[in-house]
Amino acid sequence: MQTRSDEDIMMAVAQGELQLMAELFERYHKRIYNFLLQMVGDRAVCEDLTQNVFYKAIKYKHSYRGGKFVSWIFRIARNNLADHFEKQKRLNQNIDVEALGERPESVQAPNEEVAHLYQVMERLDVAEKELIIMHRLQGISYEDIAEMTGSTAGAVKVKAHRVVKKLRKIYFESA
Amino acid sequence: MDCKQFENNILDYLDGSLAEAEKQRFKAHLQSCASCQAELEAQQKLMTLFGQVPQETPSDRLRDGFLDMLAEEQQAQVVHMAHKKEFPWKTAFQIAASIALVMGGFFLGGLRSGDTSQEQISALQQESKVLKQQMMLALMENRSPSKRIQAVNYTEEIAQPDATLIKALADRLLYDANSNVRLAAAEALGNFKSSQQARAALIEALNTEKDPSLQIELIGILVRLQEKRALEPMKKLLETQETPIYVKEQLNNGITQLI
Amino acid sequence: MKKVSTLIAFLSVCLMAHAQKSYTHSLSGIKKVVVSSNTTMEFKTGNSNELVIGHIETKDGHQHHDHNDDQIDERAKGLTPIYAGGNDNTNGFGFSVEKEGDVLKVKDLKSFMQRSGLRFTLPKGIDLSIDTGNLGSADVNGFDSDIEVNSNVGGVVLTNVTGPITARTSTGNIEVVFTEVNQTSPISLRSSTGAVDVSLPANTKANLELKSTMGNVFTDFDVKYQQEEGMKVVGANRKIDTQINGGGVLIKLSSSVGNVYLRKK
Repeated sequence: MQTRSDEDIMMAVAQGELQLMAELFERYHKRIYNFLLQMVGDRAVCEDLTQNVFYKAIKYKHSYRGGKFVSWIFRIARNNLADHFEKQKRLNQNIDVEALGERPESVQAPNEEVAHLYQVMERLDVAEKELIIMHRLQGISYEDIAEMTGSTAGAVKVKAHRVVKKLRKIYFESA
Repeated sequence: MDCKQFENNILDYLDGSLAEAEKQRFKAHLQSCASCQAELEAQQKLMTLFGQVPQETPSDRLRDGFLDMLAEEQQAQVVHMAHKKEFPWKTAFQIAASIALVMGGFFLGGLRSGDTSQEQISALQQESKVLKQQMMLALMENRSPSKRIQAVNYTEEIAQPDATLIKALADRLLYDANSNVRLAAAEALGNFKSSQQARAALIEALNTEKDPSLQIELIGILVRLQEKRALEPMKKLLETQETPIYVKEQLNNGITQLI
Repeated sequence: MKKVSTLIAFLSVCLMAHAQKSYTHSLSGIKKVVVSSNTTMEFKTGNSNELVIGHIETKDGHQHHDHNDDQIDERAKGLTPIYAGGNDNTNGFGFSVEKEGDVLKVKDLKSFMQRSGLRFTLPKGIDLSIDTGNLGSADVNGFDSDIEVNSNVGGVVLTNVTGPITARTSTGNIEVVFTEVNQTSPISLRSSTGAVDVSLPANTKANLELKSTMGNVFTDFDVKYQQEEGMKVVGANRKIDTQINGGGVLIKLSSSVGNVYLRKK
C-alpha cells in the first residue's frame, strides 16, 4: 500500500481526524527538534518547544490550507522560536541579543572543528542562522523555505549563498 | 562564468544539482581561477563539518508528552461539544459586581488620604481589568463567528493592550477559519500603531492570506501604518499568478505609497 | 413526435421510480447544524424538532430529483456507492451526518453534477453554519438564530431573519431582509466582487460600518451628514462609520468591487 502524503494526512487532521497527527509526529518531530536544538542549544527547552509546535498544529489545524506541509509546520516552529526569544529577552534584559541562542555546555560538539563551526554560527544573526540550519542541516529546499517566509526560491538561494560565504570567511579567519 | 556567478553555484555544484551545461562552465572557471578554487575547497570543508553536526534523538519524554496531549485534544473534541467548556460567565459577573460594589464603597466613604487606599483602588482596578481581559480572550474562542467578532471589537476600547491580547488578535488574524473574523482582527490590530507585535502579525498575514478582499484590507492597513517591511510580501503577491487583477491594482497603489 | 412521447413516457417512469424523497434526522440535544454542499440550497423553517433534507419543489409542485437517482445501474446491483468525503449514513441519500456534542454536521457527499438542488427544513431557533462549496448557493428563510454562511461563486439570500448573521461570498451577491435586528452580537456581510443588499426596519438601532473599496454605497437611511431625500450615493471608496436611531448593534457591510445598498423597510 502506498504511503499517504503529508499533505493528505494534514487535510484529514484539519477535518477532525486528530489521531492521524501521530503519523505526522513520527515523520517530523526529530527534524523540528533538531532545528530548534541547533538554534537554541538546550535539550529540555527544545523538547518543550517541539511539543508546543505539535500542540499548535492541532489547535490551529483549520488554518492549514493545503500547501506544503513541511513549510506549514516549520512556520509554526519558527513562530514559536521567535516567541521564545521574545520571552527570553524580556526576562533577561541585561543580556544583549547577540548572546541569545548561545550554545550551553549541554550540546557538545563531536570534535574541535565542529565546535569551531558552532562558535562561528553564533556570529550569524537569527535569520541567517535559521536559513543555514533549515537548508544545510535539515535539508529543506529553497522552494519550501520560500513558501514559509513569503519569499521566492531565487531570493532564498541568493541569501543562502551570501550566508555560507560569510560563514566561510569567519571560519577560516578565526581558525 | 565569472567569479560572482561561480560563488552562487558553489552549493548546487557540491550538492550535485547543477545542470550539465552549468557544470561545465563551473569547472572551466574553476580550473582557471585560483581564488575560486580556494573558495570551493573552503566550502567543501564546511560541508564536511555540516555533515558532522549530530542529529540528536529526543528523549521518550517528547513522544509521551505528545501522545498525552493528543489524547487530551481528542477528549476535548468530544467533551467540548457535549459540555460546552464555557467561560464561567455567571461567576465572572458576580466577581465584577462585587468589585464594583467595593470600589463604590471607597468613593461613598470619601477618598481617604494616604497611599494605602490608592494602592487598594489600583489593585481592584487591576483585577477588574484582568477579568475583563479574560472574558475577552474567552469570547474570542466562541463557536459563533459573530461573537468572536464582538470580542475582537471590544479590544478597540483598550488603550494599551498587553502582549497576550495582541497575540490573541494575531491568532484570530492568522488562524481563524472565518474570514469575517480575520478581517475584524486585521482592523483591530491596525489600531495599535506602536505595537511591533501587531505589525509583525499583519505582515505575516499578507504572506498567508488567500482571500482577496482580506488581502486588500491588509494592504490598506499596512500602507496607512507606513510599514515598509510590507513591501516584500506585496511584491511577491504581485508576482503570484492567482492574485486577482483588482488586488494587483491595490498592490501597485500601495507599493508606490510605501517606497 | 415519436421522440417526444418516448421522452414523456421516460419522465413518468422516472417520477414513479423515484429513488428517495427525503431524509429525516432528529435534532434532540442539538443546538447547531453545520451543512456543507455544492448545490443550490434552500433552508426553510418547520414545526418539528427535526432536520429534513429533501428536494427543491418548483412552482408547479414538481419535485426536482437528482440526476442519477433513477438510472437503474445494472452493474451496481449488489454494490454500495462509496464516497471520498465520508460514509453515507443516510440510506443512500448521499450525506454523512455526524453528531459532535450538540452540533450536527451534515456533509453532502455527492458532487455538484449529481444534485439538482436541496431543501433543508429546520426549527427556526437552531443555529446554522452553511458552506456552499465552490458552486453552491443558499436561500434561507425565517430563522431567528445565529447564522453563518460561506459561499464562493453562488449568491446568498436571507429573508425574514433576525441575525446575528456572518456571511461572506466571493462573487455571489448577498441579499438580506431583516424582520427585526437581534442586538446581541455583530452582523457582518462581506463580498469580494458581488453586491451587498440589506433591508432593515426603519427604526432599527445600529452602529453602521459601510464600505465599498471600488464601488459605491447607496442608502435611504438618514446618514448624518447628508440631508437630501431618496437614495443617495455616499462617498465612494471610503468607510462610512455612523449610527442610526441612536446607535446599537454593529452592522458591517462591505464589498471590494461591488456596491453596497442599505434600505429602509
